[in-house]
This record gives sequence, structure tokens and C-alpha cells, in this order.
Amino acid sequence: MAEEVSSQMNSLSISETNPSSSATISLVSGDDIVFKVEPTIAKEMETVQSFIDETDGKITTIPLPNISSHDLPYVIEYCEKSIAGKITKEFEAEFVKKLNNEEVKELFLAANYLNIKKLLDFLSQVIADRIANKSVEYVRRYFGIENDFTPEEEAKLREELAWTFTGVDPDDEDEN
Amino acid sequence: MSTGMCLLRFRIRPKEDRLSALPDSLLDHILSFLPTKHAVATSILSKRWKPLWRSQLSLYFDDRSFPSTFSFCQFFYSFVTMRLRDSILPILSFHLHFHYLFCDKDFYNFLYVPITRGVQTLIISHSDYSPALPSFVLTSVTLSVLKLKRIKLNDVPCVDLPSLKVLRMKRVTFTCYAYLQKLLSGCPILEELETKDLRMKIPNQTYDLGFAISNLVRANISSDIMIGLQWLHNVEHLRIQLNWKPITSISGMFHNLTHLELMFNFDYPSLVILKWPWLVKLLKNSPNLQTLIIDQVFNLTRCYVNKWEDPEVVPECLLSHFTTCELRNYTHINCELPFAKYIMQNSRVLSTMAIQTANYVDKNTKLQMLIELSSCPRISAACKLLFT
Repeated sequence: MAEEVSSQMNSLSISETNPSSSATISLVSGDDIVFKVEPTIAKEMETVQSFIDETDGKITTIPLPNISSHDLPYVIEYCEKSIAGKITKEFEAEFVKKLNNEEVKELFLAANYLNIKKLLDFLSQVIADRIANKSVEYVRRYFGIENDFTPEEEAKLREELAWTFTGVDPDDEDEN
Repeated sequence: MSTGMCLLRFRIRPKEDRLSALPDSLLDHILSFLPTKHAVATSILSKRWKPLWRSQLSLYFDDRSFPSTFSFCQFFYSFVTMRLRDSILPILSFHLHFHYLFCDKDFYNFLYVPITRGVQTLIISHSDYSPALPSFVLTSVTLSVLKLKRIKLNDVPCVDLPSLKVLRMKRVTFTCYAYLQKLLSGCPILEELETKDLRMKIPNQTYDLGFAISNLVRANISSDIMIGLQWLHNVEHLRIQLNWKPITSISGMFHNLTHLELMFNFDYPSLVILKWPWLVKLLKNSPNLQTLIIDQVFNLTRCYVNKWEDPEVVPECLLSHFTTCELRNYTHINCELPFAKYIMQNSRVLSTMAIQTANYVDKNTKLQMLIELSSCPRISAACKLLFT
């Protein structure tokens, strides 16, 4: 929590370029909030690192238009833990407890976009856990999938797969 | 195109649209974390999803989500071996967790599929009884990670696992000691070994492999007197949990050992008496040790206390490499203070001495401990004392 607050405080107090702290990397969220991070954090984000490498480290302000200032602190928090070698089951359980379904999806997209393999794997597991044992309708809503089967096709598939729908949990409406 | 342009090209789109617009490779990735039963069920979501699960290279089966052995077999045979999954597609990872009692033939078939499709990671665990592992598993040339739990090895004609790097066994029963020897001898590039509660049907006292496992880097041995310490001479990272007695006597050197974790479980008086001499011997024979972590569980009364005696010659590792010592569940019962004192007095490059007191230690005792410890002289000026 403390780390999150300090990243946010940095973002408020430091404007886009600050020559005295050229060693740090500025990540600019989609809603134009700047997050100052250590270069080691940037290394965890392959997309950011390859951008820095391509410009020979001259450019240290990186726009991340696809990631909001709401989600970026979570990504930074995870990367910091990862560098410190402190990704434990307990940390992951606490981390995911804070996130609703929308946030998990957003972070999954962010992890993919930034190419952070560990975070992507972790969130894939979280998503898998959240859709396992759920009704077809629930999973469609979760992924925003449009059902393009004809009623006949769907009925046939449901029959074939009937055994997989035994023991499905009741839908959890307020989560989504 | 530069990454920068790629970055700028993206625009935030409506959320649901973004998730369903993911490439198949990412949906595949999510599917690989789902039990295969649920992955198959996603074929009903939409036309795009229908074929996705079939290209999964990781399969995970848990029979608890099936009402009977029959329904599990039906699922397995129809969806995996027969029509729905591409029969030439490899299976890279195969995880089978089961609690039903299958006949040998079914169990054989379940494992025959991944083994013949080039499986690299194989995880088999039973929640209750121990089915017998088909011997063909032990001659797979592709297998790199093998994890077994509650499995029996009662037929081991030949072991040839040339790619195996990681072997974990919990509650695995061997008919005889020779089978365990055979298994470990048949893994020439094994790097990581983890064992817990191995069982022998026919007890046999000659626990000798005759050599050390040459490429072994990490070993985690829990309550196993079957695993000889002399097999582990090449490890860098060693964790041992001792319940019965020190595994075996220490003879040779541990030249590569840098990280040592010892978990003492004081259920048995014989262990308490041997603890310190055994540890000193191990320190002496590990000249490059950097980190030592000692954790202890107490079920004993004070009457079994044995004395710590400073060794005549300071172990070589303390003079050169030893930087971190951590004592967990620290108490006054078993000469921990003289030991900690000795370490701080003699470890020339020690940077951290971390003491974590046992839960039941009260505040006053804690304060007393802290005073004692912080007044100990430290030969290394850089040494920090962390006390919690």
C-alpha cells in the first residue's frame, strides 16, 4: 500500500521532464498521469525496455496510452515485488483480493501490452479460476462474447457437452 | 516499425471489445490454466472459441469434478484420445490428479497418451491409495519434469530419463531400495531433487547409491532417511528437514554448497543429542557456504538439552564466504545463544544475523534475548543484527 501511495505522490509532484532525475523512467498513463519508476522496474516491462533500448536510453518518458492511472500502480507494485524476489502465494492472494473482475481484465491487458510474463501468467490463472465452474452465460459476459451459434447448433453442443455443466456455480452478478 | 510508434498507435477502446478482440494466442494462454474439462466446455461460447481448446498443449485432469470413474474414462477416451483432439498434436504438459480407483489398464492408457506425444512435464498425484506407475514412463526421452505423489514403483525394469532435470516425489512407495537407486542412476542430468516421506516396502539398510548425483544443483529432502547425504555432494542449494535422525553420517565435502536450510523437528531425543556435532561437521565440510537457515520445531521438554561446544578449528566457510545466518523459532532451550554468539564472533564477512523468536516467547524474555545478542562481539564490522 505504501509503495502505491508513494508512486502516486511522485506522479503528482513531478512533471513530465525533470533533468535532475534522468536515471528514473517516466511512465505516462492513458489519462496523462506520470509515474516515476526505477530503471529496474522498466526492465520487468519488456515493451518499455525495448523502447528505451531502441532510443539508446535517450528517451526516458514513455507514453502508455492503453493503461490507465488506476491500473498502472498495480503493475508497478507487482514488478517491484518481483524484483525483490517477494512474489509469494500470500502476496498474490492479497494482491488479487483487491481486484474486481474488471480490474483483473484490465491488468491482464496491461500485462500483455507491457509484455510482463510473470504477471500475465499469474493473471491468466486468476481469470481461469474466476471462469471455471461458471455458466456459459456468465463466461460470455465475462469475455464480452457474442453468441453466434444458431439455437439448433447451441442445443446440439449443449447436449454433447452436457456432462461438463454438472456442478456449475450459480452466477455471481454483483461481481461483474 | 519502432516500438514507439506501436505504443502510440494504440487507443483505449471499450473494455469488453478489447478483451474479446484478444488474439487466439492469448485466449489459448488463459485456457492453458484451466482444467481440461473446463477448457473443453468453452467450445460452446462461440464459433471462434469452439476449436480453441483443441490446440492446447497442456492438459490438466482432476477426476474430482466427475461423478464416477466411468464418466471420467468416457471423457478421457472421447475427448483426448479419439476424435476431438488432433492425434498428432504434441502434449507438452500433462497433469493428472485423481482420487478414484482406476483399473491398471485405464491408468496405463491415461499415461500412455502423453508419453507417446512427447510430454515434457508429467505430474501424477493420487489423493489416497498409491497406484503403480507403468514402467514405460521411466524410459521417456522427452520427459524433463516429473512429479509424483502417492504413487508406487513396484516394477522398475529399466530407467532411462536422459532429459529429466526436475524430480519431485512425495509419499512414493518403492518395493525395494534398489528401485530408488535405479531411478536416480537413470537421470544423468538431474538438477533438482525433492523428496518427502518416501516409503520402502522391504526395508533395507544399505543406503548407498555408490556415487553423487553429478549435476544436481538443488535438493529438498524432507524426513527421508532413504536419501543418502553422500548422493548430494554436488548441490549448491540444500534444504533438509530432519524428523528421525541426521540422514546419514557426513563423510565427503560439499564444495558447491552455498545455501543450506535445516529444519529440525525435535520429536526424537536422539536427534537433539546429535544436532550440534552434526551441524559443525556439515559446516566444516562446506567451505563455500554463504547462507545458513535453521528452523526448529519443538515437542520436547528441557531434559534433552545438549551442549553447544565451540569447535577447535573455525570452519573454513566462516573465514571467507559466510554472509547470512538466520535462526527461526529461536528460544533459549537448545543452546541457540552460544551458537549465535559463536557465529558472530567468528564469521569474518557476516553481513546479516537474523533472529526470529518462537511465537510463544513472551516480551520480557524477548527483551532479555535481544540484550544478550546485541552485546555479543561481532568480528565483521558490516554485520547487522535483525531481531524479531
